[in-house]
Amino acid sequence: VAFRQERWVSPRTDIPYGTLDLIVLKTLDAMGPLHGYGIARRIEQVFQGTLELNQGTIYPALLRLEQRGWIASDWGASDNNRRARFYRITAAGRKQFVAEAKQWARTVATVNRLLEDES
Amino acid sequence: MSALRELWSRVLSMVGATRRDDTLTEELQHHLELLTQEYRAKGLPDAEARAAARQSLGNEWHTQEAYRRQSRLPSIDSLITDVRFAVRRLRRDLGTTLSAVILLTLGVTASLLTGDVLDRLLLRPPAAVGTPERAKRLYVAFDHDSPGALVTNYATVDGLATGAAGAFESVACYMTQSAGLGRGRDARQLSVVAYSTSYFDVLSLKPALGTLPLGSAGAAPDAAVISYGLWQRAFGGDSGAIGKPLRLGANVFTIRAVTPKGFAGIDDDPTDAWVPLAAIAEARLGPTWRMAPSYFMLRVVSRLRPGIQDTAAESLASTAYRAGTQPDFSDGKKHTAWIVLGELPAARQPGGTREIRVAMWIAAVAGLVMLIACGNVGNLLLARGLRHAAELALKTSFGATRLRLMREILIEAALLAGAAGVASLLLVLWLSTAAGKLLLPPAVVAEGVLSPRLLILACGISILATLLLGVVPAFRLTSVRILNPAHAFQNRASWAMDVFTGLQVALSVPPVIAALLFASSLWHAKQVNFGLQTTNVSVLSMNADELGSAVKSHDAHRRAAERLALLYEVQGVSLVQTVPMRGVYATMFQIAGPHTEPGRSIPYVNGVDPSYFNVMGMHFVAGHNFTNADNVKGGNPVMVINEAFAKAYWPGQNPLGHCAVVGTTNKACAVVVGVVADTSMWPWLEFAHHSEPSYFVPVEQYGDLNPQRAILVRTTTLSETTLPMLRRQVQSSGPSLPYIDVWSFDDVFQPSLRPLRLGAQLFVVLGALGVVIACAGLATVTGYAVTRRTRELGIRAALGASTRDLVFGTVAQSLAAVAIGLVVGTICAYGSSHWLKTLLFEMDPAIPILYVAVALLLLGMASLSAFVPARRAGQLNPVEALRQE
Repeated sequence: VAFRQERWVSPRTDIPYGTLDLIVLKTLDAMGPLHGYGIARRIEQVFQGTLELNQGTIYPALLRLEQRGWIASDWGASDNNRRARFYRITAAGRKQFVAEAKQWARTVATVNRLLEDES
Repeated sequence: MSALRELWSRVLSMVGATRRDDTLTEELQHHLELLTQEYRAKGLPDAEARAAARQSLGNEWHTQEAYRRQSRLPSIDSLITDVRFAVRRLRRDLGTTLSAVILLTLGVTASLLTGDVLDRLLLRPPAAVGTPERAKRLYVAFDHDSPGALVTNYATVDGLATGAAGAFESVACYMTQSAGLGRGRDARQLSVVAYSTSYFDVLSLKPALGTLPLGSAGAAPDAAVISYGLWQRAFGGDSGAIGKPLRLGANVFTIRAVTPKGFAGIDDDPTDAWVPLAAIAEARLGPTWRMAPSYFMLRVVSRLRPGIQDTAAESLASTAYRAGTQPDFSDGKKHTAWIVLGELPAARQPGGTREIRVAMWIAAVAGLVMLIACGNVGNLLLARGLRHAAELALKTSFGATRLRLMREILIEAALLAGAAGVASLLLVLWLSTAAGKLLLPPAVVAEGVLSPRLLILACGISILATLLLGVVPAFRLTSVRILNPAHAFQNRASWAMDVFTGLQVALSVPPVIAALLFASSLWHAKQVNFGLQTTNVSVLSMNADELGSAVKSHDAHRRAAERLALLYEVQGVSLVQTVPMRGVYATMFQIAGPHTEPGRSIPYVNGVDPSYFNVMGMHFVAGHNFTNADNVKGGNPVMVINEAFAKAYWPGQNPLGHCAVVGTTNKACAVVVGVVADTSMWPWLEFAHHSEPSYFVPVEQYGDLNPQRAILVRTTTLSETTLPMLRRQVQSSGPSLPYIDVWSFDDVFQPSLRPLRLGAQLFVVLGALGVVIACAGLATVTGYAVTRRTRELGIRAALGASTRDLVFGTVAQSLAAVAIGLVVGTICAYGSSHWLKTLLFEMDPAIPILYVAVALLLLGMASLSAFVPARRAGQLNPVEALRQE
């Protein structure tokens, strides 16, 4: 396939490819600052077992989002009084979330149309 | 923006990689603990809870690897994947790829070639010279004039060396001359430098063989140095050449060293041999030559002391120079002299020669041509990208980031530019010698082509081309609008393509204008009447020193002239003392009887035979020519003068019949028998109508005035074979003759015409290249527009739109872009035209009609290239067009 890329080689999640960003942004937007475990927990809660999340995979995603300026992180103390890194959504991240949500809707529509055309 | 931001933080993360890894480990550890707690809370025993937590978190190594990959710059293997993909895509569309590479190659070659020429001319340090930044050539500027080469006598050089010893480690002087090597058919002419002591200290060369005469101690009175080239040619590279005699003309020197390979001297023409100045000067001027004020032919070079700044050295040297005797000025006023230091090669005169300035303009225009080519290929990439917009949109749907897509497009651009770069490099290596001959002094050409600098330049230009042609498509094709999946399945136009088209047309205006300006300037310059008919005239001469004596030289030249006259192709032959426009000669002169004394400068004299005026196409305005009977020893003392002479000495009178005593030995008064029309004294365009009082006497009678001789030959035609034929004819008159210098008379105009001819030729090539590339680009854009809108056009055709409407509708947008481009380009060209003024000949470059004409011409050509592919739109069959998806 022409558009095979490095990220396809990375450990697979069963989350549709490219939507993890969207899910993380949505989570942080709704829940406020969370550490990695908190985010993973929340995602599993929302999907309630319909989706198997390899929890480690959220860390590269968090780094990517931070690199793009959509989320930011600070070190703080967690519930068990351990040092933990808390992630929060930025203003740019909120904007991006809105754009990506629309994009997602369009993608679904496009692929649906494609499937209908093919059949 | 966010894509750039990501790239930037990836770049930043190159430092501090360990800290980042530690952070992740800590986060994962924390995550694991919380997970374990969670499982424990669900009631799992300790060990099982820990195992379950590990399973939920996934393979830690994978996570860390993915994290690292995200934090680093994209890895090499993904780059290779992208390159492979780009190669596949380029191969799929081989036609477009090939035309893109060809167009780019044209543009890149133009830039690389001119860039290389400028580098060799102006930037590359002189070959083989040690610490070249300290080796300097001395120039002199008077008041606020631009500096010219310092050409002076030995006393002045000596004064500079002692007066500015604080700044200079060594000061040396030299003069160039040509000398014959060998006799008869093997005779060759060498370019010889007569060097003073310290000359080789200034140059600081590492000899290929032998020991260079350094300092005053090393300067043996007969020490000759030969060039690597001469060593190969004359001695076959034999190391036994050291110590062998070198016979140059009447002098014999001993070879002491061979200069390093690649060193061709520091003058415009490659130097073959170096001989001591003392030997040459003493033979000519006697032992007191060092004091002779008239020995005004020495050029000065120096080596700065370490750490001395140019400005400090210049002020010291200026003071030292002003302390000595300075040249007289014709206006009789005192002028303040400033010594200016320049780089060692004579071609790098501070302020630049006219030729250098033309070369810089050519390089700038070559850059424009490259821009046009890049714009064009950028357009091709855009057009193809837009055709495949659906593919890009799908990739985005599957998570490809914008950065990723941009990288793909840039890699494709880089592959195209790289291929063009390699092709250009090969082309440049092939063309370089020819281009060098056109644009560079011969000595620079002799240094050779291949240098790492050319490779670096090629890489730099390829990278620049990649960015120029790739950046706009990369941004345009990955923009949100294009990638919007809802629209991805439509074909679309892009304003960027029209901008590119307009830009290409705008950029092709200046080269075309420059080509026309230079061509008409050259035409103007060629029309200049110097008063002599020089076409088909050749000049032959032999070195008097090598012939033994002035009398022997005269006889040899006369015999040669007689032999030449026998040739069928020869219409006229004349034996002269001075070649007109090549030099002047003056001697003691005393007019008998009433006359006006014009104040300054004695008139110039030339000893000629009666055929001279005919051979050079001069015409008599009064009186008559002298006869063959006059042109013998002891004949009637007669002279022919020019109009300027008559005007200066006998204003308002008939000069015929007046007489003057010429020279010191001939006491008889020479009677004026004829007056010829004025001719130009020098081949400079600016002084074409400037004549000075001159007179002509029979060469046989006045042979002792001047030992120099030359033969002027007028032939029916002057082709490539003429000069060798003339040389052979003279050679056959004596087997032991020294080297016979033969050249076409019109060569004297070369220095004046060269910059104009250079500009005319190269701007025409570059202008044509620019226009062709721009028009080809326009045809592509229009062709794409027709393909893209086939369906729409089909519908319109079905609804009854006329062919004309369809065709015009297709080209309207492109032609609007062309028109805007033309207006902008023409205005810019007009606005910047005054910079060319000093390079043109008697021409104001701001001729509005020329700009309008060029704009209209380009508009016509652009319309043609747009309409040809657009005709397809008019010929569409509605039924078939509608069937296309």
